[in-house]
Amino acid sequence: MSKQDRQDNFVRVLTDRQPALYGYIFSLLPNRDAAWDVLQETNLSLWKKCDGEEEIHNLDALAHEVARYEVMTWLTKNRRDKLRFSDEVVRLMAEDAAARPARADKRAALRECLRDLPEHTRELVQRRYAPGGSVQTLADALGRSTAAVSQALYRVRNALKRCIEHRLTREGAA
Amino acid sequence: MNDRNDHHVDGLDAELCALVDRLIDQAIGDAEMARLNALMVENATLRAYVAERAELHAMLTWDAVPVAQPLTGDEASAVVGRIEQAIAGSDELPSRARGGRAHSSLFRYAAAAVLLIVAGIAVVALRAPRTTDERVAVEKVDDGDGAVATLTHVKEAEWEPGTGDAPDLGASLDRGRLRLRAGSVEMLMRSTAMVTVLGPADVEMVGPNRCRLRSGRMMATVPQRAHGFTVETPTHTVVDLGTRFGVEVSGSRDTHVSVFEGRVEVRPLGAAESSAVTLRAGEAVEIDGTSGGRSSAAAEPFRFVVAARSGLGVDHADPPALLIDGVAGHVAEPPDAVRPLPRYDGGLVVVLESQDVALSDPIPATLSEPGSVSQFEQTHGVLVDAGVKVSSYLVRFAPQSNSDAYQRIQGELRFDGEIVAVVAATDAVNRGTAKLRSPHVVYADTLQLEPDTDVAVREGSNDRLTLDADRHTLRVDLGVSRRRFNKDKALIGDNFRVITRSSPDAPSR
Repeated sequence: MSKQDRQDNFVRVLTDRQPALYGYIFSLLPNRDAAWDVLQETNLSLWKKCDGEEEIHNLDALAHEVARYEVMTWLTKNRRDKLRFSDEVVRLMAEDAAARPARADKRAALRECLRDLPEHTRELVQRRYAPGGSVQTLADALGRSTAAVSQALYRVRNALKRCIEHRLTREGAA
Repeated sequence: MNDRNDHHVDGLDAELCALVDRLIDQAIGDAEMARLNALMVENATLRAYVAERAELHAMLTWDAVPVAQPLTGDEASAVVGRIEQAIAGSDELPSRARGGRAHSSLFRYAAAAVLLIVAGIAVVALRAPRTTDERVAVEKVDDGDGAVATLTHVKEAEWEPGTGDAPDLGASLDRGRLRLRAGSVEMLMRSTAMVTVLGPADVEMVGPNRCRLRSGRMMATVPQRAHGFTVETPTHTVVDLGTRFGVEVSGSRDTHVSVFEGRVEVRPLGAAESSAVTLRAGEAVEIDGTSGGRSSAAAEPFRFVVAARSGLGVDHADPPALLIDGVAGHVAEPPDAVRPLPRYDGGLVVVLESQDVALSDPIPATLSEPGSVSQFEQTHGVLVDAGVKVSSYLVRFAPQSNSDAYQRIQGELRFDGEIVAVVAATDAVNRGTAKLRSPHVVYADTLQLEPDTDVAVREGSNDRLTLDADRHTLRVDLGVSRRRFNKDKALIGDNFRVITRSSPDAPSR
């Protein structure tokens, strides 16, 4: 495989892994903006490291390793940030993730489940996840408390979770 | 089933689960955060739940298609009503999958993109891709194969009225025209070529590795994987051969091409390759828009830089200041013409303080031989003899972000002229050799380089300057702890002066 082919392959694989990698980072660093920054740093590091087919083949493990390092770097630089897990929790979360079996790709199921939501519920989710969207901006726009909006999203996420599980179970049985 | 009736989720108390979601939504208090931290150490089930919720949050970040309009206007009340209904939870939420595809058109989005900006080298992972409807394509030429670029940076951009919605940061750009009235934007082409457009400009996105500059200025940084990136002007094509270059098209269709790194090929539209001219780093060509006549010139990096007027301690940049946003910068003699300079918000600023000055006295300096320095207040002796002609540049790092967070920049500056000295001691920079200072720079009360300060050590940084053996490259590693202004309302930060040797034949100024 030529270097160009390897680069193309790397971009394709890393593109595919972005949501999962962001989810992993967010599970260690539950701060939306910080997690986004760490994702970018992780991508950069991976781009520099991944020059061979072997690295690309083992991208998931390498990406977790790099991401954890980048998270720790961010935490070291931002000691006073309060929206963070303790070093101990970060360590435990990373170890748990390493021990967990690889998960099925749930994104296709999620998309189907989003389609199944009632329109107003789907709109709530879309507003929350639109660029610049947040529970706070929704609460401000609606004149409701952030707790009320978050509670509504909590219910929707629970519904989506059950829907995803149902679809994956059905597909597994098919 | 309505989740309001759920008492337990995954074996966890529902109240605890809701707390996790408040964390996901960044709506959690300090005390709750501390409680969650304490519980997670002991409770593996809770940790698994947090990981699962983070995964769902990430998928929704990518796959919950954002809506296009803000919560204002005629539709607002209807939208609010619908969302209110969701918050009230009066409707059944689906507990199992159902058939049907509501609003399928909303979900026609492209594959998720990780965009590797190799140019810088920076890597940007963009948010979930937009719907086709949200892509900005002014005067769409062709739907073709979808987005050809992504808007990765917007700096005080003003778009021409009547040309459609202003594209947001992260927007996918289809083939079509973009007319920028002022400010600047950066676009990452699908090929990974990085394009900066400086307003006013009229650019047409032609393909994933090709654009047409109808008027205005643009600069391209082209990584290896995007070789062949092409800019069409009204009369010529400019083809990258692995490089960084700038193109300007005037109102009278004159074309200017400057090459800063690598090579480009320039040839008349539709002409054979044999008629092409190849430009190398440091070279430029001027092409008459009417006759097609070409004349060689020196590359003009200052013609294409985003520079600064406000808040810098530079009351007006004459000659212009150079803003270097990232990893590497090329510093050469600026042109005489002063161009409009947009607002500064980060990066290194380089101000040409004086040019081709014949020194009447020797100058003490902080660094005069290849190597590193991080102690700035001690100058070691004389380094530039009297009688030598020099130019001096003031380099300033004073990021203007609203954040008080520690800001750091690392990279290298390459100077056309041989670096004979770096002066970093406060007095020597601010009050030293009068002939080198610019009347347009506010020097007093500036914060100087800060070696070994607590914050620098804590952040793993240490202001450091390193002069390469080639004497043209200066590596910098600078950090400032927070945004401050001096009594003249100039942004303060790290400052030092770079002195380069001029040609002995240069006319003294």
